[in-house]
Amino acid sequence: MRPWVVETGTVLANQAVDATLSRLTLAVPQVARLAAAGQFVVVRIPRADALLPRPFDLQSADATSGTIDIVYRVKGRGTHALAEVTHGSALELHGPFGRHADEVLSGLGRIALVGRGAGSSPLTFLAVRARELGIEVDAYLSARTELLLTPFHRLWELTRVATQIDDREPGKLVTAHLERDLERQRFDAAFVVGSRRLARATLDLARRHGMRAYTYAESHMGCGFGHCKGCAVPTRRGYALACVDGPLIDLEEVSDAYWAKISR
Amino acid sequence: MGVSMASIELANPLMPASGTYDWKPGDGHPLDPDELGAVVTKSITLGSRGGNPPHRIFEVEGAVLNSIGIPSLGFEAYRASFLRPAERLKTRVFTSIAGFSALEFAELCAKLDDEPRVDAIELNLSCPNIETDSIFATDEAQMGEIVGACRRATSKPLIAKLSPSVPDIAPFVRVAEDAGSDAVCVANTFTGMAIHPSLMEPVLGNTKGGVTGPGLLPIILHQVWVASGASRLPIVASGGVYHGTDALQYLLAGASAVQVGTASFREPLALRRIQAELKEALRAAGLVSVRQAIGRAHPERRATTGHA
Repeated sequence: MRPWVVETGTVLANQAVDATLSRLTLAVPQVARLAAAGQFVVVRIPRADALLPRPFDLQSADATSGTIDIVYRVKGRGTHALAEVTHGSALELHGPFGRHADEVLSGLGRIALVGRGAGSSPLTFLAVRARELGIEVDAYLSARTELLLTPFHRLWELTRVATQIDDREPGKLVTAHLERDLERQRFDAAFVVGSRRLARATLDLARRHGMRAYTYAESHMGCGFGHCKGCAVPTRRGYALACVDGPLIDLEEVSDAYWAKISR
Repeated sequence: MGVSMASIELANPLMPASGTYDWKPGDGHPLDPDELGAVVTKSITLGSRGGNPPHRIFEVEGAVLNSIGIPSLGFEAYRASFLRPAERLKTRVFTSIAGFSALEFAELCAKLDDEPRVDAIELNLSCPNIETDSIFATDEAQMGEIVGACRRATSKPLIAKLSPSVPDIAPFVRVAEDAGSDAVCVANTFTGMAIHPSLMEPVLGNTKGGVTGPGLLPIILHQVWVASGASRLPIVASGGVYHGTDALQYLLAGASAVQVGTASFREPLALRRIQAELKEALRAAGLVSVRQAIGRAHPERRATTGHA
């Protein structure tokens, strides 16, 4: 495993996009220097009664400024408490953890990024890295409202973005745009995150068009570094751990049990 | 900070609870195993096991539920991936083992008996998350049979890890002692569950899991207290330790060593902090050593260990 650290950072911003989505910027120089696209950090929720830390994919990490960005869905006890953290507060986290995206990006010519809601967060980091490697990128983002796409504005600077907003096109899947593009354009791989329904649709497209499909495995996690064995992901070869075997996993590797949990 | 337990010298009394610190060389963990009184491994089994379906871990108000189900690479892989690299560690190595019968436990003990790097064997008689009809350490006869079989299979020090899910832990401590265990660990997790209110089904993939967290401290502290009065076996305490004063309470109740589990998930350096806090707590109490603290609050323990 690559080196990781326990570091106490400073909250530079923790802004609510709406009641369900927030964006956190942290000054955390050691983590920012170590982090690579594909990785995540584990944040200690600053309350004595928060017993497990919470894992978050990185939206970006900048070694020069020593900062990281996280976009998170405000959903349960932990993220509600995190949303209360104010500018200037200290926040302890550990990481970065997980495989580098370079392991799967190398050698690819064009990729599609498919995201839903807060799950779109790691796609920005992935797009930045892919462009650095000379890989063509197209993005397909889905959200409940247009407002919920605002944390991902940087993607528009990096690539062409197709969107699907529930308000306007209820019931449509953003993968319809990818399906249309696949008729005239070859993609080597798609990365889908934030919705198992979209993941399933993307895998179906991948099989029809001969591309790979990867997702960021989501799982309830205890530690982040492979010690507690909590974040099991059912695969064809038994259980993988999202923290050390992922979070990027090949959707062809996951087993039926993974899809059975589609609503969770 | 040194302490002696079942003829094992520990540099300090603090160690991880089994399954919460799975050291491997090069895993990047900033906590050096040699800072610990002992490395306690995740339970190993004879053959390989995949573990339980997700969800395996879940936080509820005031507690953490886990149902990992002892994923294990099996004994041979454990020897290659852990015991060989562990040869360069200076700290003690406690290997936790789990089996499905007295025979399996004994076979693992016999294999570990040949391993010089293993300083003690912790018998996981109390996992609530595996496919046995009952938890071994809630049945005196069954537990006695397993501990006895292990005793005949190895001369290594044995630590029987007991279940807290019993009305009175004292008879189980005596069973462990009579069957030849050198120490007891008090205790494993309680059994519990959570139900998802809108999905209307159990959250944990295995339905039930072990309950851990800070709320266990007063309950397990009392069980350590009872165990202290029940026998002279050294006690390793485990349950709800987050602070140095928590560890000190366990020592005062009669424990010789203290394990830290769930606290290390949100705070990977918790064992280092708790060790520093324990040192300070001992000083504040006017004690010059860990040995002086052991059993000091317990009238019967004090009498048997010769503390003034």
